[in-house]
Amino acid sequence: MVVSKAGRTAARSVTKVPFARRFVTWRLHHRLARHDTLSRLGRHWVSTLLTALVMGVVLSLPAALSMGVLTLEAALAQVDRGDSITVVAHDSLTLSQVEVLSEEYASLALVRSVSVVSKEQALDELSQWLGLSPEVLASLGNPLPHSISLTLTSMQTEALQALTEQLTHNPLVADVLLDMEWLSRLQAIALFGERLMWAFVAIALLACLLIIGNTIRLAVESRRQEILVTKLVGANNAYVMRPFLYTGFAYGAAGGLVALLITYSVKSWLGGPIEALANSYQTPYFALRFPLSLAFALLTAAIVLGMLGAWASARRQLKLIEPR
Amino acid sequence: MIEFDRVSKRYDSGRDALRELSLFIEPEELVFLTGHSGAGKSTLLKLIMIMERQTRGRVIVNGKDLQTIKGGGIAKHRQDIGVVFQDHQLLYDRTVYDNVALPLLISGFEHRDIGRRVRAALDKVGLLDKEKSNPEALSGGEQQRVGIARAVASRPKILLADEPTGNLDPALSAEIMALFRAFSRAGVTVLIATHDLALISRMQHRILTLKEGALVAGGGRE
Ligand SMILES: Nc1ncnc2c1ncn2[C@@H]1O[C@H](COP(=O)(O)OP(=O)(O)OP(=O)(O)O)[C@@H](O)[C@H]1O
Ligand SMILES: [Mg+2]
Repeated sequence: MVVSKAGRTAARSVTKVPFARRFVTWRLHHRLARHDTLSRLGRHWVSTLLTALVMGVVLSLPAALSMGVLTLEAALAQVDRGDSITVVAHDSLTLSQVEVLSEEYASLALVRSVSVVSKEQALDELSQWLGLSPEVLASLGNPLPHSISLTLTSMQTEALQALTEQLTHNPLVADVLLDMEWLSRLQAIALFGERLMWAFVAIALLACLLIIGNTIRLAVESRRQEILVTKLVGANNAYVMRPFLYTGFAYGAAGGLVALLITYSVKSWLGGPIEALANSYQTPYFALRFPLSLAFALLTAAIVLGMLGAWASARRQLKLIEPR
Repeated sequence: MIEFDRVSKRYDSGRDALRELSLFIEPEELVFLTGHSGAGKSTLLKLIMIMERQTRGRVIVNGKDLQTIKGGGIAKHRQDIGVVFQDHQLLYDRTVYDNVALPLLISGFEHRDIGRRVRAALDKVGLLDKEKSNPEALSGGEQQRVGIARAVASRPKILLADEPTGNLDPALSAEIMALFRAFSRAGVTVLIATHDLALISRMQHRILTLKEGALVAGGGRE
């Protein structure tokens, strides 16, 4: 094998310093960079705070939206679970005939459970709803038919439509009641909310990168002389880059924390009204959702963004600062 | 050991700063580099520091062809060379001690070692009592000496100086030259670019004279 003279020289200079020694140096350099970053950020604490606040506000927008979307989706899931269609039996059918029909329905693939609502039960419910005593209502004669309530396994629109058609064809069935429009509207809103959230996520990512990038650009520029001197006495790019990466990390972490603070404040502020709303619909599981995993993801994303923005900006700037 | 083998440097502006320049400087030698303004003195020093690259020819420092040094190797190469600038290039956001310690921290000296070397270097330039001061609070001559202490703290084999006595009074200039002489006696290759002919002509050392980028006196092996 031919080894160039240069290659041999390079190899020698690398192995000259033992690994343990280089590791100690590396750790020392990191400690210096951390110390340098913290003291600088502390000295300019007003601008540090402002940058963190701006980042936090920007990041809190998608966070708050995702809270809304998660809540809405959870609410939709509640609606789904309770979803049923009502088959109104023909007037002429007796209760036992309706029961036979319901058993037939129970074996359908899409149906999870069936329950027969007799005309008397229906009248009871109606009287309760109207606030009248059932006797008064019954004295008027009971115009209500027997009906069967079907709980479904799926809310897929096409499947539902097919089922509805199948049910209506039966001559024993007077009507099939199904509030499809309401549901599909809700689903459309959820989809819209989700897309809106992703749009805001993208905008926030971009905004954070720009904020951090610009902050770091100014920081590099203001330390130009120091970087030049440091390079002249033997610092490599990694060395001069390190404080800026730590700065990006710090801004990201601080911005992420501010965003979480805002999000949780919004959550507790909206929590009351939402709970009242949920109670009025008697759906106890319906509440604002911002799980810990999402909070963690937000913080991680903020830190990664901070470091990425810092890295890209510092690398670009540092290329322009070569000792001449 | 520094060797230039028919080195030319043309700047992007088209200006030829060095033309076919060859020279050899022995280890432990002290050499002055002189010439009119624009003769190419700073350019020559910058090539040794890899702050600029030659357009043609070879520059060999401590047995290594600089053309083969790239990327991270440049930083390593600079760690082996001490430099003194006319305008000190000190950092005013930290103490004298931290200024002198900077190259040692970068090169990865051990903690105890750093304290010892910084104090030894400051002692040599007579500023041991100023280690906690900010360089801004020092006189021009004192700042220049801090710059020298920083350049020699890691005991490099090569010491370069670009107009180190540029704006100092004659007594102080002589003092600083004496310092450089002491370093060369201690085994350091010293190359000093200067205009101060009156001072260096009294010093019995080789003088390289540049004229429009070419060597007119003092080149070659002794
Ligand atoms: N970065 C540069 N770009 C273009 N031309 C340059 C550059 N640096 C130096 N020069 C030119 O190269 C020539 C040599 O410059 P250099 O700085 O080496 O001279 P010098 O001998 O150090 O002069 P002085 O005594 O004034 O410091 C000059 O004509 C100068 O204009
Ligand atoms: Mg010059």
